[in-house]
Amino acid sequence: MAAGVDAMTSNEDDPEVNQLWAAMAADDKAALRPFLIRRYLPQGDVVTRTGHDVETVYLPTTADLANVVRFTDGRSGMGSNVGREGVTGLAAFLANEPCGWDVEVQVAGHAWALPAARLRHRVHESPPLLQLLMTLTHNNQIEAAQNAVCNALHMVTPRLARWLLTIQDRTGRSDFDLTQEDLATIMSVRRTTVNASWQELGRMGGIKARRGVVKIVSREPLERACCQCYGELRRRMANLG
Amino acid sequence: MTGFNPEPIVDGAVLMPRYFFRLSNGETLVDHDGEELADHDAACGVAVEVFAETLSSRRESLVAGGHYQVLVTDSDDAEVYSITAHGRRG
Repeated sequence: MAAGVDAMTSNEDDPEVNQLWAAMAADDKAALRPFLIRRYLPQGDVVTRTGHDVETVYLPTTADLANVVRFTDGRSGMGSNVGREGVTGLAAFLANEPCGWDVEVQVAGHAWALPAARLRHRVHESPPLLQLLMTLTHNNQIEAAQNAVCNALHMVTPRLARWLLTIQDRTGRSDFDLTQEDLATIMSVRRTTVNASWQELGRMGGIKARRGVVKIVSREPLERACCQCYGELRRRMANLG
Repeated sequence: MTGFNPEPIVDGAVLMPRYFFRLSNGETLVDHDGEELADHDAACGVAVEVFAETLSSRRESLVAGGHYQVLVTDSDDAEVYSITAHGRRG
């Protein structure tokens, strides 16, 4: 299903909700605002495919997109994700190279679409905007490295708790239409393994889950259950503002 | 596994059997949803992967001499496969 234009607006979907947009200088916003289009991104949509050019970048407000690596045996996993703290396809866009992964909507919601050519044109005119995007790229690098080591060393329940906290930060939401199969792809493990962690976090009072819907009911149990990566990234990533 | 017959073809699609994975280390974690997989061999392979992914989370009980098992059943609740770890001090 293709991403569709949505005419509805709300405060929650003001571009300012996106932290990259909010951090841009007024003249950069003025130059780019006429080209922003608000879109609803359905879960499962792939907005940029591996090996393809980044033609449109998305600044999420309530959606979250995963950078997904796929293997030839059909398995896949999330390397990192992008929500309201950033923009999709950033490294490939800056390098003007094909994207190194699929950018797939993992939590449906809204984002502001911007033609990559318009952003590139503006970056050439605006050193502060380039610096801002380089800072965000640095943050993404920190997160990707942390994710790689986290996936190798940490158990699934702490990783799932961390992901839930992160996704709440990045979408501003507490309810997610996600099946155990969806979470298995995100965590790069089997569905049954997710089921075990899902039930464990439910017993701790962090989430309520029924088929297809996960609801965060309390952050405190999740903060106790999560690995140290959640706090580490909050400390080490640069503040765009 | 041998002797497994695939499900009939309906509207050109092969219906895959559903398998259920129970994790147990004293108390049993049930699997209400199950998972469609090609055949018994695929289910056994998934059980081994689940075992590997979850084993370290049972570290305390295994060090204390406990056991941990992943049991696979089919839709008739018949046992298809199990894999078990036992902690034992010399």
